[in-house]
Formats: sequence, C-alpha cells, structure tokens
Amino acid sequence: ESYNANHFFAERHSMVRGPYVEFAEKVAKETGGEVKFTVFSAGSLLPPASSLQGVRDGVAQVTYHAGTYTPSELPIANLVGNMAFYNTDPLVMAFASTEFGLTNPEQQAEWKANGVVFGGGYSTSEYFMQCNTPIRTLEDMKGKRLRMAGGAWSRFAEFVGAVPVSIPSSEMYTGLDAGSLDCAVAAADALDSFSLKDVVTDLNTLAIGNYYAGFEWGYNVPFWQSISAENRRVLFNQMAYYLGQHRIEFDKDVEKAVTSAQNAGMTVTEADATLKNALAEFVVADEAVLIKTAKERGVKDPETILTSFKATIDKWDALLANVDRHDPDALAQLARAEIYDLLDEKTYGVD
Amino acid sequence: MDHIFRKLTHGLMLVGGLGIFLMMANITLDVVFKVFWNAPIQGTVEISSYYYMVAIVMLPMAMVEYDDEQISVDLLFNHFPDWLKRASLLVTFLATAIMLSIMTWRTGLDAVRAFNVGEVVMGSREIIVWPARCMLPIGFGLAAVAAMLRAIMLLRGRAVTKLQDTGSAV
Amino acid sequence: MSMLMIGWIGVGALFALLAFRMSIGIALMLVSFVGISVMLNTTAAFGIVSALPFSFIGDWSLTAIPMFLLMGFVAANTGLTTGAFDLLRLLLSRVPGGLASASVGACGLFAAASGSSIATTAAMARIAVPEMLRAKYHPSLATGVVAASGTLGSLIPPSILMVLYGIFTEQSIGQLFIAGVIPGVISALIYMAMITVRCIRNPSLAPRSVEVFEMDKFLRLLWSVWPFPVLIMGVLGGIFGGFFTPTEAGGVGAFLAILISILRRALTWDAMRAAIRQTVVATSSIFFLSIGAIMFTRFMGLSGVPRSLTDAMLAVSDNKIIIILMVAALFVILGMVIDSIGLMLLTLPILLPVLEAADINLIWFGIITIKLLEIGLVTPPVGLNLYVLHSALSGKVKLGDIISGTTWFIAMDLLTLILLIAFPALSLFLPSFMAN
Ligand code: NA
Ligand code: NA
Repeated sequence: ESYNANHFFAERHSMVRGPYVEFAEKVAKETGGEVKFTVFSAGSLLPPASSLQGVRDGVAQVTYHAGTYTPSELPIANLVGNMAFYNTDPLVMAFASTEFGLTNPEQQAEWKANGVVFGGGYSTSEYFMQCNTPIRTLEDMKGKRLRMAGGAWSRFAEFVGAVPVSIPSSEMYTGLDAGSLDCAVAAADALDSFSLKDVVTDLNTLAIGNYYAGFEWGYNVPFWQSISAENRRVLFNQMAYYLGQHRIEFDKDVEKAVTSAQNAGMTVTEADATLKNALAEFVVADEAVLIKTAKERGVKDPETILTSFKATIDKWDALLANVDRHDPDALAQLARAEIYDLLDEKTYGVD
Repeated sequence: MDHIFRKLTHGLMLVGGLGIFLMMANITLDVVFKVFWNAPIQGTVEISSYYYMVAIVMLPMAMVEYDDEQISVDLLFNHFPDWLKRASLLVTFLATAIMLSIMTWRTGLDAVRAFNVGEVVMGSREIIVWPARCMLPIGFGLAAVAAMLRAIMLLRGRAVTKLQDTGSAV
Repeated sequence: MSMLMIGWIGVGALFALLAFRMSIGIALMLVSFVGISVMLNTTAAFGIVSALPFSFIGDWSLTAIPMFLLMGFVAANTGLTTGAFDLLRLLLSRVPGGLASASVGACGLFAAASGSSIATTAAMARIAVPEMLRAKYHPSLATGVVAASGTLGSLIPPSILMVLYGIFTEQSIGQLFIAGVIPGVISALIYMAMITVRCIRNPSLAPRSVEVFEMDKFLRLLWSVWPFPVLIMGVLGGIFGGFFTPTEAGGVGAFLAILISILRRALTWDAMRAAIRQTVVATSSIFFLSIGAIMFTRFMGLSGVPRSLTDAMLAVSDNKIIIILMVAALFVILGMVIDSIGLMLLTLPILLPVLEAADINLIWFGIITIKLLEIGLVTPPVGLNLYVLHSALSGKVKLGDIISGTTWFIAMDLLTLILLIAFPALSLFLPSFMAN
C-alpha cells in the first residue's frame, strides 16, 4: 500500500536523499511492496511547524520534525534538544538522541501523548558562524548581528554580547549580502544549499552546538500498528542504516561546500581562547536555564532526565571512538547491536 | 440583526486596522533601532507574524464576506437568467457557510489544544501563541455566520452582491 | 478511482464552482477538502485544515503584503502624484500626446511608491484622466493609457504580486524586485513611443497643447517631485544598502508614505481611514484566497496531477522557449476570466514542476509571469483595472471606450513580452550584480 512520507528539507539534502528517498525504495523492496512511501519534500505536504500535528492526523505516515517548533508539546525533547553544547560531536548526538528517544520512559510517554511513534533521531553537522566580517575573539563578537536558531543559540549570542536575530533561513542570503546580518549560524552546507558562499567571507570553526531536536522518523500511530511486525523490523533495520549514513553524507556535503567556498576566497579561522572560554562558561551557566524552562513547562524531574541523557551521550562517545566513522555498514551494525535489536517489533509502539 | 452584525464586523475590521498600524510602527522602530543602535526589538518577527498578521487577516474576514469583497469571477454569472443567479448564490452561500464551519470547528479544536498545552514558539524570545490561535475560529466562524445571513437576505429578496467590482485585489 | 483521476476531477470541479460565482478561496478550500477526503480519508483532510492556515498566515515574509498595500493606498488617498504629473506635463508640452505620455511617466513613478496596480490606477484615474478630457483628448486614449500604465504598479518594485510569487516559488524577493526595474522602464518607454507615433499620425486623438514652457514654473514643480526619490531611496536603497530586508522594507515604506503625506500636509483623517480600510479588506481577501491556494497545492501534490502534466508538456517539447510560450498562451487566455492573484496562485502549484523540470530560471519566469498577469488586468471581461477606472470616473466614460482604448497598449505589452522572452538579460542583468 502507498503511504506519505514528509520532510521539509529539499530533496537533494543529505537528510532527505538517503533517509527518505533511498529509504523509501529499500523499504518498498524489502516489504515486498507492502509498505510504499511517496516522499513529499520541501514542505510540499506539511509546513515545518505542523509536521508533528500532520503525522498525528495521518496526513503523513512518517515525517521529520524539528523539535524546537513545538516547545510546549515536547518539553522533554526540547530539554534534551537544547543540551546542544555538552558534546558537539554530531555523530554522538545522532546516536545518543536516537537511543534516548527509543528507550527513556518519560520521553516515550511524551511521544505517545503527542500521537507519534518515535523511530529514530538525527543530527545536523556542527553549527558554525558564517560571516561577512572576520570573527576570532570574544571582542569581535560584541554587537555583531547573528542569525540564530532560537533557544540556547540565542542565549549564547546574548551571553557573548552579540545580537541574536531571528529570521527565516531563506532570508540569510539577503541579510548577509546587504549587511543587515554579520553572521549566519548554521550547518556549513548552507554555503551551498542557501548559496551563502557568494556572500560569506569568513567562517569560524568554533562548534556552536548542532541541531538534533525532535526526530528524523516519527510514525503515525494507526499506521504503525496496522503493519506487520516483520515490516516494522524492516523499518528498524533501515533506520539503523540511515542513522549513520545521513551523518556521513551530511559531513561530506559540508566539506564539499567549505572547500569550494575556500577556493572562491573564503577564510576559515579558529576561535581564540577568549571565545572558546566564553562558550565553555556559557554551557555551564545555561544548564540552570534549561532546567528552569523545563520545570515551567511541567517536566517533573528535569535533573534526572539530563543526568540520564548525559550518561547516554558519554556511552556513545566511547562506543563511537572504536569504530570506522566513515563506514555506513559498521555504523549500522553498531546501531542495530546497541539499539534497534534490543527493541521488540511485536510490542514497540503497539501497546 | 443586520445592523448589529454589521456593527460587529465593522468593529473587528477596525481592530485589524489597528493591527496594521501597530505592525508598521513595530517593524519601522525595529529597523531604526537596529540601524542606529544595533539593538533590535526582540520578538518583532514573532509578534508581527503571529499577532498582527493573524489579526489583520482573520478579524476583518466576516466583513469581507458580508460586504461581498471576496475575490470571485462573475463572468458567466452576469449572463445567467435571474432564477439561476439566485440559485447559484444560494448554493454558494450555503457551501461557504459549510466550508467555513469546517474551518471553524477544526481551528477551534486547535485553539483549545494550544491553550491546554500553553503553546509557545521559539524565536530569540519565547512567545505565547495560543491567544493568536483563538482568532482563527473567531474569524472563520463569524464569516460563516455572514454567509448564512446573506443566504437569508437573498431569500428575503434583498441585494446581496456589489453592483460593480471596484476591486479589492491587487 | 485512481488518485490522478480524482485530481483532474478536482480541477474540473474547481472551474465549475468558479463559474457559479463562488469566491475563489472557498472553491479552492472545498475542492481540496473533499478531494483529500476521497483520496485519503477525512482525518487527513481535517489535518490539512489544521496544519496550514495558522502557519501560513504566521509567515514573517508575508507581512510585506499589507505593508506595501498600505504604502500604495496612503499615496493614492493623499494625491501623491499630482506634482509629478504637472511637471511631466510641462516637460512634454511640445510632444504630440504629451499629456498621455506624462500619465505613463507619472504612473511609473507612482508604481515605485505602491505595491499594487489597483492603487496605481485608482490614484492616476482621478488626477490624469480629467486633465486629458479637459484638453479634448479622445476618451479612449485618455482612459486606456491610465488603465494600461496602472499595471506598471506590479512590475516596478515594490510589488505584492512579486512578494507572493517569491514565496510560492522560493525565489529571492529582493532579486525579483530589482529584476522588474528594466522591464518596467521598457514597458513605459514603449507606451510613450506608441502614443507619440499615433498622435502624430492622427492629431485628432490629442490636440496640441498651448501651454508654454516657463522656467520658474518648472523649478517650482521640480520641487514637488521630492517624495519619489525619497521613497525609491527609502525602499530600494534601504534593501540594497543593507539597512533592512525586503520584508522589513514594507513597514519602512508604509511609514515613509505616511510621513511624506504629513510633510506635504495632505494627510487627512478621512484619507487615513480610507487607506486603512482598503488595506484591511485587500489583505484579508488576498489571504483568504491564498489559504485556499495552499490547501489546493497539497491536494494537487497528493493527486499527482502536476507530475502528469509535467510529463505531458515535456513530451510536447523540452525547449524552454516553447514551454514558456505555452504557459504564456495559457495565462493570456485564463487572464481574461480570472483576476491576477487568483490566476497566479491557481496555476503555480501545477506549473512549478514543469518549469523546474525544464530548468527555467524562476526569476526570469517571474518577470514574464507578472507581465502576463498585468495584461490580464486590462483584458475584458475580467479586467479589474478597467472597472477601477470606470468607477473612479463615476461612469463618465463608457466601459466600451476604456476597453477599446487599451487595445493598442495590449499590443505593446505583447511586444514587450517578446523582448523579455527573447532577451532574458533584460530581467536578469540587474540581479546578476546582487549575486556577486
Ligand atoms: Na510597484
Ligand atoms: Na482579464
């Protein structure tokens, strides 16, 4: 049967190319045509802010969802999604957020309350400052206008004396070109995908977190329960593969974009100690804000949740140190052994 | 009835007009503060998108429907015999009322859900949006009532269409 | 029944409903809701109702629409163009048909202060047409020139149509704005050339002016055009000077228009109230239609109609020019019966995949689209500009005269269109500076 898969990124993006387009082909093949997804990309089915609602209502049977669009519905996912500076290794965060989303009881209850079956997480590559002016020191940041993704990112900008600006990603180009923005803070594939390489002269390699809030695959509950346990296992296996695969592809795209921008004259600089220290200080200071916000949104014991999430992160930090990070099969094997094989396809998301 | 409803829709239109004025002031001040003092008014984007715009679009909707200002095509219609004109107007008004009731019902449920979870959006500041959500069922709902009233007016033989299209569109 | 079949039935049902004078917005919503219910289920149809309107209205880029509308309506209600028209009239007093050419020029200037063709036409109708009639110009020339030149309001930036086009096709609104400048100027110059030639060949169309050029009058009037450089610098200069984004330019432009009208002592309470009411009504009706259009876009996407149409059109030819000519023919025909915004929002969801598959530059195509929509504004039977002019003149000129007066201008528009299609650089030359 044919179902709808929704992602609001463009079809050529590494988070759609493999994990949605190829994924749909493989799932169709391995389920013998029993589960066929039609992929709707670039928001052609659901707008970004309505993905969660849309998959709950069955407009789509599987969707990507950027968690920060729904802070009130998903307070726990936002609590952990805003922990973006504890460990800035995107591969670690993709695997850790996946395991956490699949296994933490509070988080599982939150997915259930929102009418969605969590399938797996993701992570963008590191967020870098892509600027039209050199930025190296804490002093350089003062008064600069930074396009930020909101939440912890905006608080970081204010912490270092910069001015956070919230504009849609489609306006980054004009802003940088015309000078109403000094930097866009985003994954560096934006140099290509949003053509920022025409207007960015300086890239600073300080990793200002990475974005992994929400999920790469969230399923409609009636859909999930209607398919056979064998087919659910097919989905598990494919998600395990594309969890690592999208990370490898994303980083490749970033590298390609940065190299071609460098060839066109963009400077890549490192942050100096003052700026690095400021980021470290911010990370410590911001945890209190995260906990306070979560409590205001009705999360009972945010401290315990954070402790548990940190433990998961640390575990993956260690596991991923001993594997070939450029081999999608090795990563898939690890994801199956440590996460997906431990789930029961007969009961997960069904009870 | 006609009089009271007209007053109500006109009042809501004025609130929408106030929204236009406030949005212009807010955006202009934000630009001025950014250009001269590098100090944007935080929340301008969110307040403009979720409050001013929703008010500007939704609150005047009933008046727009009531005064026959929605964009339509009356090419063939103008050549219809009188009975067919009345029949298609009646069907149109009823269909409009039904479709707008569907919109009202569903966006109303969304407003209730948003209220229950205390919906906010994340910009550079966190902005509460559930009150803005309430403007959708209000706008669609009153527009549905307007369509029903027009159907009643039509049955009573009163004028329900503008004589000449003076153009509200671009 | 296949999804594709349901999709095509939906398209047919849509046009049937429009014929019965259902508002375009409701017709789109109804067809989409029923269509998705049949194709998937009612939960999904309700899901679309729930997901789309709020996030669509809450899109920051769309705030430019009411702001540019307000800018135009304030300018129109406070008679911003009177001085500019008088100046151009003086300058062109020796030229055959000078008053008509002055009207074209004044419309072009006003267009830079207005995002809307309707506001431009309405404003110039009250200023220029009575002058021309007093000077014994043929009524069809006097009205045709304003009906046609009023459409420059959408081609010369700022432009509501460009904002909507940019959002639906994900193109840079700033680039679209700058791309419209040269085509706008060319349109105006071609109009003027045509007027001059026609008035030389047939002097009875426009009796020669007896006005003599006086230097002090010229200097006095020169001062009265100051609002235009201020507005053009304020809006376009602000965008390209890096002071604000095209979206923010709407708010700043509206504010400048009000400020200028205060400085000119032209802002009355009545004028402000009229401007606000017109803006509110126009915004609400445009968004109502757009909500229908985004629902219809989803319905079309789910049904697969655009994909099958793409295949069919590419099977005819994958030559860009041929595809553009096919689309142009479609727009000219549909433009006779559907208003500009409705037409654009109805067709883009279906045409966009075709354009992308043929690798057509969407900024270039945007300018061509705007020009085609402008032609639709003056082609009967549904030509909004004709009616605006007719009602602004309180019926003093017959509708038939207005329509026949526009025929020469439509012919010139087709000429401009051929130039725009043959030489993409006319549209893409200025934006190319932005990208580097
Ligand atoms: Na304009
Ligand atoms: Na027309």
